[in-house]
Amino acid sequence: MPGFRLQRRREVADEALVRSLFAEHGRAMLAYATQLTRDRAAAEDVVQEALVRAWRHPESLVNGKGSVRGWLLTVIRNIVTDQIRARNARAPEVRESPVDVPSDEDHAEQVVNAMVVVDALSQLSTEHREVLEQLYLQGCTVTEAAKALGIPPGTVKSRSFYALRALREIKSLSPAGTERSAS
Amino acid sequence: MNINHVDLAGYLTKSLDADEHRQAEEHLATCAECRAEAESLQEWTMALEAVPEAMLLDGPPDDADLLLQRTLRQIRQESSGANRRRSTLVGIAAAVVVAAAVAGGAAVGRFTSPSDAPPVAQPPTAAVSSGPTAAPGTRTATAVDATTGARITVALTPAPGWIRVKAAVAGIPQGERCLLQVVDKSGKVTLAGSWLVSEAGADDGTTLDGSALVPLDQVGSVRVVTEGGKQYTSVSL
Repeated sequence: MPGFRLQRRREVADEALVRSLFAEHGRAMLAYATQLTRDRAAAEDVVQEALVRAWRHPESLVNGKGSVRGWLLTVIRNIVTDQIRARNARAPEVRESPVDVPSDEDHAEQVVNAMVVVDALSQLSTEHREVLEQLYLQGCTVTEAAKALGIPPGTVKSRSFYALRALREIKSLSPAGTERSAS
Repeated sequence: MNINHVDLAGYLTKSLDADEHRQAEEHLATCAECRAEAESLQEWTMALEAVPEAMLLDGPPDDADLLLQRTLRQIRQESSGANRRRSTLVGIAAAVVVAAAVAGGAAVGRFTSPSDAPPVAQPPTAAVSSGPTAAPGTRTATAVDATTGARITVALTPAPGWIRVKAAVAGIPQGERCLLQVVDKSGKVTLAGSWLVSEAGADDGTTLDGSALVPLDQVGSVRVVTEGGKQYTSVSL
């Protein structure tokens, strides 16, 4: 049955896309989702939903201005934000403790920046990015970073200083610079 | 400027000794200019510290095979369920992905995107060491052809002056005699492999291992064409 064949072929092709996204970005997606939800099981559900959305709208993966990873992480953030909003909307009926919900929201807002940071880092020069990753993401001391990068400690210090300033030029971290929909 | 008042670089990298640190704090307490500078940069150091390292890493998550299986199951269900109003596949130009250049240990990998690359996908990936998936410097990309429905996923691994090409190609009918070609930025075509699509290949796709005498940074696209010259799919890198 040719119809079936065609359908089957599409499925195979579709799965290849999802598998490749998972293979390349799965770790980053799950790390971000886990940070947002603070719950591995919930994070896995969010990643699953994000991959399904990518599969439904493959064109949007590449039509945006940002990177594929940026798109995927944005989708993750939106899913988590929607969940929090939905929970908030339900709150009066189920009498959720009013303390819990805002704290979720606060937490989410704090880590929303992670995506912004990852995107901004990708725009830095390699030298700048490396030194910031060593110092702040991996938590190395200046001496350790100098050794890992094969540059003098003084260079680590000055380079990281200029790298931070470059980041500041690229993106604003202030709340005014982040999008908040007021629905 | 500010930087002359106090060793802000040392302060922000926490590399001052106790005395120097105290002096810096004293200065910051009194100098509004330096304080403003320090605070605005500290916003970034804190934001960086809050990023999970894994967000910069490539590869699949650990222990998450079930997650992939679950996702694929959902896709299969949705896809067979409504047989899709989405009857024609929407084409993807190229979902370009990642590459983790890594040199062992604590070295930091990087993605190098050619400066003239299309504004499509610039992976923000700077991967840190030992990604379990790809060989150092490997670049992968996926594309679907909107007309033929054929898909290709390629992984290009650099060797000095040439590349190893791994490709998974799906959506080409049985009996087609296919060529896997690498097109460099000047438009020159190099053959990386050829095959005849079998019945199984038509159903489940075909995986290929090839190579091409093209340096990785010169690769423009990888495509699948038939001997007769029909192009089934092409992916830009």
